[in-house]
Amino acid sequence: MKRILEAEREARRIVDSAYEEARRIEAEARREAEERAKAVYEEIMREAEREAEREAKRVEEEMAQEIMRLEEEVLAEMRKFEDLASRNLEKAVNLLLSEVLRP
Amino acid sequence: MSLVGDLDKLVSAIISKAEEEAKSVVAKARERAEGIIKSAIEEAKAKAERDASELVRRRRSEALSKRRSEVAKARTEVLRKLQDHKERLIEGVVEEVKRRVQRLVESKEYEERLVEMIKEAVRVLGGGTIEVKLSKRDAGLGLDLTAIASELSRELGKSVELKLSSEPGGFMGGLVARSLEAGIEVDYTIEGILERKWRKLRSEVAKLLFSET
Repeated sequence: MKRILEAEREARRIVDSAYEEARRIEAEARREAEERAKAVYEEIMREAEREAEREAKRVEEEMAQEIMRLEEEVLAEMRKFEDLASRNLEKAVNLLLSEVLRP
Repeated sequence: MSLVGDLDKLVSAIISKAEEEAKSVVAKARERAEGIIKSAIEEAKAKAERDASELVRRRRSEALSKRRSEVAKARTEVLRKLQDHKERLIEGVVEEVKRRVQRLVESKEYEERLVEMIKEAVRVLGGGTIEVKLSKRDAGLGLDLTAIASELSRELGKSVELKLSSEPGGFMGGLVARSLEAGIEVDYTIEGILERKWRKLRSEVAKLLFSET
């Protein structure tokens, strides 16, 4: 009878120890889960930051090109107006001049 | 079979069962642990993907908004530059006209035009005693104001007297005529005429200046 009681106590100890181990495993898993989840989240966000940077840079480059295009267009317009003004100056001056001595 | 032998078997069975149960408990715990980790990673990944997508969308939107604003600012600026440039070219016409008028006032043709302008001023004022202010240069031309007055007197059928102002005008050419009776003045200076004509003809001059035909 004594041996049976001892065996049952040993069995309980084995099972209790297993539950203890199970709790430890689960606690460890939660810690690991938290760490790995954090690492996964941070890696994805870092890549997103890089992508956002690339995107912002691309938009900025397009903006610079668009502004440069506008400036070039306006320079071309200015040159065109200068040419026209130079070509038509005599006519414009004569139009005004013909009126100046006629009150 | 002896009693001791049976007892050994029973003890062994109790321990074995406990060990089996322990194995099962630990195995299930490991399974749950794997589940916890897998699920946490999946959740983190899903959240990160949503957040990442939102981050990229927000940054792109900010960059595009900045681009729109900067491009609009640049467009306004270049259009202002273009407009200023056109204005300078248009104003260049007036400057050129002033240079040419400066040469013109030294010609014979101008002297004839000046006489016509005096006559026109007298007609506008309706005759009477009129003071005529000329530039220093024009005052020295020795215009016969008496002859002009006589001609206008006949034309208007009333008395006309022209008096040359003792003070020369500080203008390029033309005249300022003032009726001494009515106190009315007409400004036929080159500068005054040019200013009035310029207001009237500016858009026409600009159109002509930038005409492609």
